[in-house]
Amino acid sequence: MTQTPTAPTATDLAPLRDLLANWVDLKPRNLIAVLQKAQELYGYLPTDALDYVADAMRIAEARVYGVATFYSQFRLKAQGEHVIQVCNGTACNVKGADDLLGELVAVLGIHAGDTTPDGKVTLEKVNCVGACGVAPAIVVDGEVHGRVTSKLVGKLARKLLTAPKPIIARRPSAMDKVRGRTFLERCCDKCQTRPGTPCPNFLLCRMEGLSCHDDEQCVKFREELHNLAEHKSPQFLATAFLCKGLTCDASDEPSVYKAFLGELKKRGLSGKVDFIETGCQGLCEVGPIVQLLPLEAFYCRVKPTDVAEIVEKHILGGQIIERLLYAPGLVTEASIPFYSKQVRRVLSNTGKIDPENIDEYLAREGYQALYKALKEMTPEQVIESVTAAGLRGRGGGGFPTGKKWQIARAQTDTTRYIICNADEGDPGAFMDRSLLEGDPHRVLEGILIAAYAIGAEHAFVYCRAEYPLAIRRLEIALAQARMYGLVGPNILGTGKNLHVEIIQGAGAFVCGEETAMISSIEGKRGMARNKPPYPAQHGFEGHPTCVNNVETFANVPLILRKGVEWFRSVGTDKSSGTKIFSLSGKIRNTGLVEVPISMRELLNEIGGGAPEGSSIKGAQTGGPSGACIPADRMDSAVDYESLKKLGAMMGSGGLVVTDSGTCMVNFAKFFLGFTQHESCGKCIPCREGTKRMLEILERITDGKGKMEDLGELRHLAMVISRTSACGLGATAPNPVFSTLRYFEHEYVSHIRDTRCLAGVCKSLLTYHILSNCRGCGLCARGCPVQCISGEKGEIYVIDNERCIKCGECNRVCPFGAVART
Amino acid sequence: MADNQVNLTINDLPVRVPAGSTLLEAAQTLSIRIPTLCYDKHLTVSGACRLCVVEVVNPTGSTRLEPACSFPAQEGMMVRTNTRELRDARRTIIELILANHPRACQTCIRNQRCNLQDACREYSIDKIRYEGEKRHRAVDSSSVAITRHPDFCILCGKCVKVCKEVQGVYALDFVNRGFSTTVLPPFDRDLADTVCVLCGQCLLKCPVAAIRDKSYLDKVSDALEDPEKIVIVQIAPSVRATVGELYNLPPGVPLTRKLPTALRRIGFDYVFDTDFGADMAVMEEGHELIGRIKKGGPFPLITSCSPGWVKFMEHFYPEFIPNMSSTKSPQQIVGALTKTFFAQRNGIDPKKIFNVSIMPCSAKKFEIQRPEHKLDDGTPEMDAVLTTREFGDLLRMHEIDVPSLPESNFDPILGDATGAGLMFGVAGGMMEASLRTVAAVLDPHCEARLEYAALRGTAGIKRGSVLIGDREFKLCAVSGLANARKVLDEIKSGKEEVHFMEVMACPGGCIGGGGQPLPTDDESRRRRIEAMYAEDRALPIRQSHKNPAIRTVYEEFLGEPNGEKAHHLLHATYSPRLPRGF
Repeated sequence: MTQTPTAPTATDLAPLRDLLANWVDLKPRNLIAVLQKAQELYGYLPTDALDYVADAMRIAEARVYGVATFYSQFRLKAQGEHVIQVCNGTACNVKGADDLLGELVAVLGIHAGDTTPDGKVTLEKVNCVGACGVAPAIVVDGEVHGRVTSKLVGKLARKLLTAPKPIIARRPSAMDKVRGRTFLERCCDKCQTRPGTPCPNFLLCRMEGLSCHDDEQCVKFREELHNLAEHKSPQFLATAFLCKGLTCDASDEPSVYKAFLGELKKRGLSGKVDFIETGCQGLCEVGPIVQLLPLEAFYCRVKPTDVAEIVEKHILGGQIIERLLYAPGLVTEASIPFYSKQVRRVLSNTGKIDPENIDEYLAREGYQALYKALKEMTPEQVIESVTAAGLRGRGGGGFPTGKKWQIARAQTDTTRYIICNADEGDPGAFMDRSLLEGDPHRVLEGILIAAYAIGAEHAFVYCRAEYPLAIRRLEIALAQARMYGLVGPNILGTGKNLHVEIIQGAGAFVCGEETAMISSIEGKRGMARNKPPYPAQHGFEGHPTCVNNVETFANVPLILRKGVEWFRSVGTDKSSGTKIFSLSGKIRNTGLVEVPISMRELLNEIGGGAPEGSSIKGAQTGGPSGACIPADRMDSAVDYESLKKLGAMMGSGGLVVTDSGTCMVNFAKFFLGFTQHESCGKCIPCREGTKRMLEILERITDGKGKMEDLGELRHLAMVISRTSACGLGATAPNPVFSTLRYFEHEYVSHIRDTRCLAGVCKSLLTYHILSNCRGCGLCARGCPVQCISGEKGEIYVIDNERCIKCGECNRVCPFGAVART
Repeated sequence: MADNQVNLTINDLPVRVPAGSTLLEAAQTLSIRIPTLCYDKHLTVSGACRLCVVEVVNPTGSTRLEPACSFPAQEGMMVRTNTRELRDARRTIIELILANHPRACQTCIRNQRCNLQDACREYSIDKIRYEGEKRHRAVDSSSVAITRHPDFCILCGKCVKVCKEVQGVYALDFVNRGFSTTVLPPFDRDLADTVCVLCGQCLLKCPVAAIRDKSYLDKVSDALEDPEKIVIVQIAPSVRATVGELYNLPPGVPLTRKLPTALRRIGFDYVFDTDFGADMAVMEEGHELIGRIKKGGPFPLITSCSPGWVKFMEHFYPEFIPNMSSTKSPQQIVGALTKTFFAQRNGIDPKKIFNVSIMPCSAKKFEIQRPEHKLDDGTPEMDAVLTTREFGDLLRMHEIDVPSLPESNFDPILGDATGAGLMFGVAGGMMEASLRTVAAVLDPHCEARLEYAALRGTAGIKRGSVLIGDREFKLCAVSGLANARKVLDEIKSGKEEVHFMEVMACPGGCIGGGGQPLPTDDESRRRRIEAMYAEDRALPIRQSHKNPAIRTVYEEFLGEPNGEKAHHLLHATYSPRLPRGF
């Protein structure tokens, strides 16, 4: 974070000048967006460019610099031609991200945050990129690579050192996607619909066929459009659903899609298969996933080399390819226990539709809840329904949504705002990302309904910058909704207006906290504010503002469409409905799941238990604010109240599983390091206290801890949680509280026996060579610091003074002669 | 909730306060003390230090801790302010601050005048349980008046807020985040290269020693020791009302006539009075105003004796340069006349004169360096400025106990002043002093009018009007630069018409200046202002044009007010300054 600006060099300010001159309605609150664009222009933020921004926007330089140094996305130093980012999310950490970083540091000869002297490669450690299902992951020049190993990243880094500068492909604009045949197409000249100004009865006409005219030709025309949107069009031999969730995409290299195109072309079948690039289909562990219709099948780990067989046997031959199934005999998605035990309500479309095509959402009752709300319900009735349904905030806090809306609506100030919190910063969580990538219109519909309910004419979606695909999908969805008259002025001819603006976060976890998020949207440092007054009373620019999470909004259309009773039919009395979880870490079925709140046996039944050869130790919920609890307790009940009793919290739904190979002290240290780095720095307990806690944990994992440290940790944790200014600080000690409560013996063994039971804490490890050494010399050749010596055929020796405990010798020894203690 | 009051109990004592009061305010009505470090009632509440947390009892019987500085009192609340948990939490917070602090109390300039030290004493801190990494940043001594010592900073944010909210300058902000958070000028530049106007309000707000005076004591001591030098000192109007505070006297006990005795004992050769320069400024600026009234503009004429304001204007409102009075400040007038009029009259080589001023102001250190404040041969009019606080150090160094000294007079002519000159020390006073002369000169009916109630008191923006002849002139006196921004923006947009405007950079004027003793707060400002008004009333002459010394200087040396020589010596020009401020 501590960055010193480079010496002033003359920057070509012309592009920046153009950017600002062409910015429509430039306001000080756009500062962060302006800096993001400036960084796109220059690769970093040169001081003279920042000076220019301050001048042109008439903002104090001190504010510009304060903002530029607050957000980790902003760089004040030039970057290399290539950028390697090592994901430091929880799942990646559990699966060895530190080893990847170590390897890259060794190969590149630079530390994280630095650039090689030749300006070729920059190495960075970044917050969770949401590819937890294929952890550990790295991002190279903007592309996610999953399930990587030290060896692989080392090779990649060496390649980049000589590789030419990458050419960044033009991002397709949202309009590219509104193409081909859509519901906007007019059946004949009688139709009043135009893009942006559809006929007032547009929705009814296209969805229910209540047209102003029913010429046979026109009815058939609309039917065709429907078939297309529902993947039933007879013009295709088959429909292939390619999972383009981040996780599958990260392991889809080279592309299955391209292989399909090639294969079809070869056979003269181009255009005969309808390809749907879906959002996350859920079972990330077995990606890339390809599902097929009308002969239904769920194929796992599909490689381009499998494509010819799929076309030949499945599409043309009507046969199921057994070897690509999840398990013998489990042909369809519904047959796989991972899915059959779930209740996929909010996720019902995710993975099943093209998220970049509004028609597919519309064809599945999309926007009907909005229609109902606007045409048949008063705002008060909408709030009543949401209250009666018992919907609670899915972002972690669990505050009743209806009550929040009620408070905002009751304010005398009629300039009100909606904020959709899509700043899913919890490492190990990717529910919101999956929803936005897989079914963005559902979220948008929820936002529209909420805006109607509280009387807001302006909504913001604050999405973290680490989710470029989610942002792009949302932009596309928004552009389409505008064309369909669902967003913008005079929605569905009701005279109601709603402007929706996407705000891209700039890399600050604390901005997930609602008051910090509001500061950020106002173009300021994301510092938390005192509550009360609450945002619903005094939020964005002082006006009543409802901040709800993505998943909360996605639930809203369901309540209006299916009714309160239906909604309450699952979950508990106090926690109704379903909750989405992202499962990652040391578990068999990593992925995205939706279950009724209070679901038991989540880890074993759906998660499939531990992978071969290990056993689940604990589960971490709620990210860095959450707790790590023993697995058996986790499986007793997952609802707001029960988790609270265990000292844990529901959190946003990230669930990271640990096993015997995870050191819980190190795990707590990881989380504390995270919150410590992400603290906004305003209040003393959080800023200074978490630092001291982290230092104590570092001492313990270095084998220098004292038994008194445990009391000190508990004491500091208590003071920090009781006195911090916002939720980030108040919950930061939770990982320490919970690991001290359930895994204290691990702390004790570090301190008293200087032993790390999981074999993770390097300072406490020693490697030595046993007498069954054959003297082959493999270990000595593999050792990166050449600290192993010996004669061929003799027993080799490790110099422990120089050993860096990387474990390479242990890995390469074919005889198991290198022991770790 | 009747008549918008709420009832609650604090430490089991019932209390009724207006709705919207904070718990801190509610506790104050019961004389219950709650410790604070980052709280300041004139700044937006940040709730950063958490020292003021109090225990609030939830309906379920459990408790939570809330910051008293910002948490609103609510009907039926039960609050405790001093439980064992709270004492322990506060102690931990103080220890956490100390773990990241140099802890160099004995050698610290703020020793025994430090809020952090007070907190340590209050909570009996006898050990620090936490040791580890400390933040480190280099000292910034680029500015001529203010040095920043980031290692001492406890990040309370008061400097950032006073600079932004009270002064509208925004030369500092928080930088980085988390443990790396620091308060820095933009782009980590030297403070000297920013829009900082050196008003010193940040220093007054700083609870510790993170912002300090750049001291000129050594330079002054050297001159005093140099037998070749004739060391002349002048003392600003407001300083006489605040020196007592350096000796733990209550604010508002003037020691005026004891100061010349003290200064002579230190070794100054002549003791002059900045009030004389103020009388001269009334004559010069008054005639500018008379000239503009006769010519019909440009209006408003804006005062220029506050150097923080002048620098602010050059950064932020250079479009008002034509409105500025060209008259130099009283300090510079006395300085210029010392090295010309006084030197000639006494046959002294001006090059031997070392001119020192004792000022309530840190920006005066910037003012003496401005290029327009040099004599024809390049000699600076003034050689050194000491703030009131540094003056205290000088007095201590010489073991002088001012309150017990006998009284004596300032040295003649440049030490002879009126009540009008004295009034320069309070916001609105300069304008009042000018009107005492201008109105009398233009309109015989105003001859005896000495006090203008609309311009008195502690308000940041004071508006009034004066009838001169048959014409009404609109007056506006502002103190605090954010207030100046408000009025200037109104004038710019045509919403407000002002003919004569006084701007003082510091809230309350010079009695609240950035160079004044600590603490400078509402109470001390109010009492200092009263002392100044009282001293003015007690003086035999209260109009500058009636000062015989002023007449002597014009007759013997300058000629006419605004005449050629006066213009050459006593007037200055201004120009836009970078970086441009917003």
